[in-house]
Amino acid sequence: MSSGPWSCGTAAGRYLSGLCVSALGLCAGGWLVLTPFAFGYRTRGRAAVTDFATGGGLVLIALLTLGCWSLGWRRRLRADGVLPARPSRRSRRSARRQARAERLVRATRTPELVAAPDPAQVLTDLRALLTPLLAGEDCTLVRPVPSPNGTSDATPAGQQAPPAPSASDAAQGAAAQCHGAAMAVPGVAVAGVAAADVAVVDVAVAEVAAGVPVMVPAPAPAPESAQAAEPHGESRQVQAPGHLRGTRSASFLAPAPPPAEPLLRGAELLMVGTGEEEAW
Amino acid sequence: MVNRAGMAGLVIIFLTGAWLIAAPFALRFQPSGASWTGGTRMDLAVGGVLLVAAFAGFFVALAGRVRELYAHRPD
Repeated sequence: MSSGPWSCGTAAGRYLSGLCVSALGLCAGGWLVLTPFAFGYRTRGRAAVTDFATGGGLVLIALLTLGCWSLGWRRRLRADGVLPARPSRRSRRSARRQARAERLVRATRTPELVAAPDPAQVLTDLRALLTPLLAGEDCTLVRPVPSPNGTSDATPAGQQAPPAPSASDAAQGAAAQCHGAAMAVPGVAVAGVAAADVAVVDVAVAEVAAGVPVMVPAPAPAPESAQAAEPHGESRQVQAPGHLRGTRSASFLAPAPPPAEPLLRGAELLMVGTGEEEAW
Repeated sequence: MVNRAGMAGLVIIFLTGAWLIAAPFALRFQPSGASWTGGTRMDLAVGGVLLVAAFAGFFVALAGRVRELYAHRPD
């Protein structure tokens, strides 16, 4: 009873009955309008007026009923999938917008594909663009540290500060023998950007092997008490952000030697890290 | 909405048929006791056909609607 075809047939019979009755009413109304003329009693007054009025009204009502049943049956057929679904106004509008967007994307994408640059040329241009920026970054990465005599000193990467008498002359000598990018000087030791990591690692390895505590960080704003506690002429190194510290690199490269333990005493606490951590 | 309007149209057609049957006697253009005129016969015939057809069509449509409701009822 509730099967699909049976239900569809019932709906068709329902709409058909409405359509048939509406059509019959339309024909009857037309006939009522024509009857006074057909039978020759249009001059009889009330009967003719009644037939005209009733026939005219019946035609209108029958037309409206016919339209309603036709529309209802059409919708039912679309809902059942017999007739193709007509896209709504909103879906048509959205389809137009999507097509327009696709056209725009296609129009903007085509010139890029035609004028695709050479990757090698792009890399060359990128290198030429970034090289001055990196050179400028080298200067900005230098963190001035007040020297023991109270003046702030900063040495750019790659330049060697004037040597000064200190207890870590051996370490300075080792640092000077290296690439020159990382310098351990009294007051300031600057690690360069380009080859600084390798240089610091080498220096640290040499220092740890020799047992010389040279990689002692100094506070950026050195407190008075700490300055007083520290001996003058002690070697310090300023670490630029992102640079590896020598002792940690050395710990990675070689087994931790026993002399590294005294480095962590008192104010000479060594904070090792990847550059985000502050050393004090 | 459309189906309801169609059903209402059938009802109006049914009432029109009833009016066509009653009009000659209600408007007194058919004298009582006299033989029926041509207009009266025509109105009675057309009104009777419309009455029966609209009645049948209305109940067929109503039966179809009831069957749809039964077919789509939740189990």
